[in-house]
Amino acid sequence: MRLGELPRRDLAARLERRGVDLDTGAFIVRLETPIAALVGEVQSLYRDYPLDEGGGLADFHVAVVSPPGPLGIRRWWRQQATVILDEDRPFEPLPVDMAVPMLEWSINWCAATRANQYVMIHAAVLERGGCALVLPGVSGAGKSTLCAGLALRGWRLLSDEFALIRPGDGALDPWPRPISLKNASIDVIRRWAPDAYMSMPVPHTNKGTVAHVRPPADSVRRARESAMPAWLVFPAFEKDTPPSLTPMPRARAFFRLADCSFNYPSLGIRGFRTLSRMIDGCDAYEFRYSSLDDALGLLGALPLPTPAA
Amino acid sequence: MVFDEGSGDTHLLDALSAEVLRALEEFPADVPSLIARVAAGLGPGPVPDIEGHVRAAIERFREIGLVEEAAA
Repeated sequence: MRLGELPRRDLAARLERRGVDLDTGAFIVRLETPIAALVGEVQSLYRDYPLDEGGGLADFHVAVVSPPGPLGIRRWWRQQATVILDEDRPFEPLPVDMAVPMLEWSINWCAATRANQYVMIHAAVLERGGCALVLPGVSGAGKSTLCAGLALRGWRLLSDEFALIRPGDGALDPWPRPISLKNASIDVIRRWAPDAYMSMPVPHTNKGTVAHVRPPADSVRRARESAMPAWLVFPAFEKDTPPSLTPMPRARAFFRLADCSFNYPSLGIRGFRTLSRMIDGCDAYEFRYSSLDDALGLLGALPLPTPAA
Repeated sequence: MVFDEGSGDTHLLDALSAEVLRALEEFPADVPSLIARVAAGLGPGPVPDIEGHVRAAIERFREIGLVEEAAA
């Protein structure tokens, strides 16, 4: 059964009482919340995800709850939300309006701090024709905009935040989740794909205004299909700049990639071997772009990589 | 590129420095014989100031802990 098939009332009851186990591909996420305002967005953003009904173990337990007010009673005025991850409360409470971004950031945090079975890179990952395109980047490089633009025009979404590299064989495991957009990117993607579902923009977060795009149903359906990395593209959005795709030496790409990793320093030789193998099998580029049309054309025409000598 | 399991650091080496490290990995050597081995491994083409390059590489490796002096 998929989450979207649950009637809203049943979903709300399950989220409040025992949670739902969402099969998100690489991880099973147990999600709980009594916050009614969150139910609708969860239902819309995660509509296509299978529910794991096996009653087994979830990888991450995420509960979004309303903390008690100063007198120990739940307050309805300026209601807040906070996240409980297993038994921990690693974040400060935020206004309840920010519950959706808070939920998404919390799930990311779970992976970034715990999923050391992978070498994890802060990167968007998409696939076409069996070849994966990895877009590493710091915030503001235009990674998520590019990711949403490509995912909504035929590329398969593996993730907009995490390249999950298996140390054993170097394959990338998919973790397709709602794509996080910020500020001006929200309208760019609205114009680019008017039919795509996007959550209600949330202003005044510490990242500015934030909205999430529902991942394409096909990407969710194929969330168990790994892909081998073929292209490493380091994007940089530069307004009014003609697009350019410049080959990057493999050694420089290695260090840029390691800089974008959540856990490379803690994995020792396993991380080194995994990234080395990835670099040897990929072509690396620096990519400057100012329009999604240009990006779609250039990235869609990338030649297959030449293996390292 | 080389990974130091002791420190967890990753280093980028130029081709000649990589030759020096590779030669030392095979077995320990004093500096003159190391220079000779590296020169022989590079073949007949001219390499200016190979001695200076090898000595600089060893010094750098020592600073970052990739090599150490063997007990006499």
